[in-house]
Amino acid sequence: MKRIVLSLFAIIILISSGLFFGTQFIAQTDGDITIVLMDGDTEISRQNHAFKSGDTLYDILSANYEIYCANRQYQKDEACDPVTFTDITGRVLLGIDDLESNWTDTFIQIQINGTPATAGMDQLAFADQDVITLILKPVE
Amino acid sequence: MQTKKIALFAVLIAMLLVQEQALAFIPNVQFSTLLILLFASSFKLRDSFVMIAVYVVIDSLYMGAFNLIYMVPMYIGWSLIPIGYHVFFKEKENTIALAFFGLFMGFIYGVIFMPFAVILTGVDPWAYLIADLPFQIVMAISNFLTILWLYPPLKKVYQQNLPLIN
Repeated sequence: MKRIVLSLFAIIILISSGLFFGTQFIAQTDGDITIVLMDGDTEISRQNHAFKSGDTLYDILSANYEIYCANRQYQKDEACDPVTFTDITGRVLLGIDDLESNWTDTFIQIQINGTPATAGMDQLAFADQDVITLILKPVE
Repeated sequence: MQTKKIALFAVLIAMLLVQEQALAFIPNVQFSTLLILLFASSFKLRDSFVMIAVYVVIDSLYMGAFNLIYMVPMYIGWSLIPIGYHVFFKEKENTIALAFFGLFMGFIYGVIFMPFAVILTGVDPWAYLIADLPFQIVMAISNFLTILWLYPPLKKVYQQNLPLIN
């Protein structure tokens, strides 16, 4: 009985953490953000985009750029369907316009106002006037 | 080391590697902690260290991570399981306490990688911890449930069918 109770408790914690960490960020207000694309230290483009309440970073990127994501095996998925990685459902950005990562040798780092982001493009919280930088970096 | 023990180690390490690869499609869900704990309960601490060293080398070669930056934290993380077992549980085994130990080790294993990941990627330690937390939770809960339900029957089968070499 004790083991069943402990197991149920553990499963509840697992599901709760999945819901908590997998929460999709939706903008609460309208605003503008700047998206900067960089190949290493070289700036490729810098554009301002308006967003509306309810948008995610994925919505902004997919509306303004040609993007593709990783499937469950980290291979190219042009449809960018959400995938469940561990207990989080979201998308991993593999390419945007001319920046292309093969995941093995390179990756695209997301920075928000110069700081590495702690979430992906479905979960990342942003606000009006934020600068989101997407940098193609080598895996060292 | 006796030939019999070397052969036994080879089989047990193969079990560790195969189950890890079989479950690789679910990140951080595996029976490694359960099996290392099980093996630690039947071998001397020194033997467990040897077994884990071989496991880490083969696993790193197979996964293309034959690099000290991955291998050192992996070795430290796995080695803490037999150390913990021999320090706290060798005299008196308690399945629930072992399950909580597995839960704790799930978090510790992730944290051990932090300084190495920070050196490798230059990422902020706090950002790394937050990003890694979901994976630590999955590993911790996976350890907890597998030890809670599978450790007693596996230990029984293990003791019945394999010689205790000490």
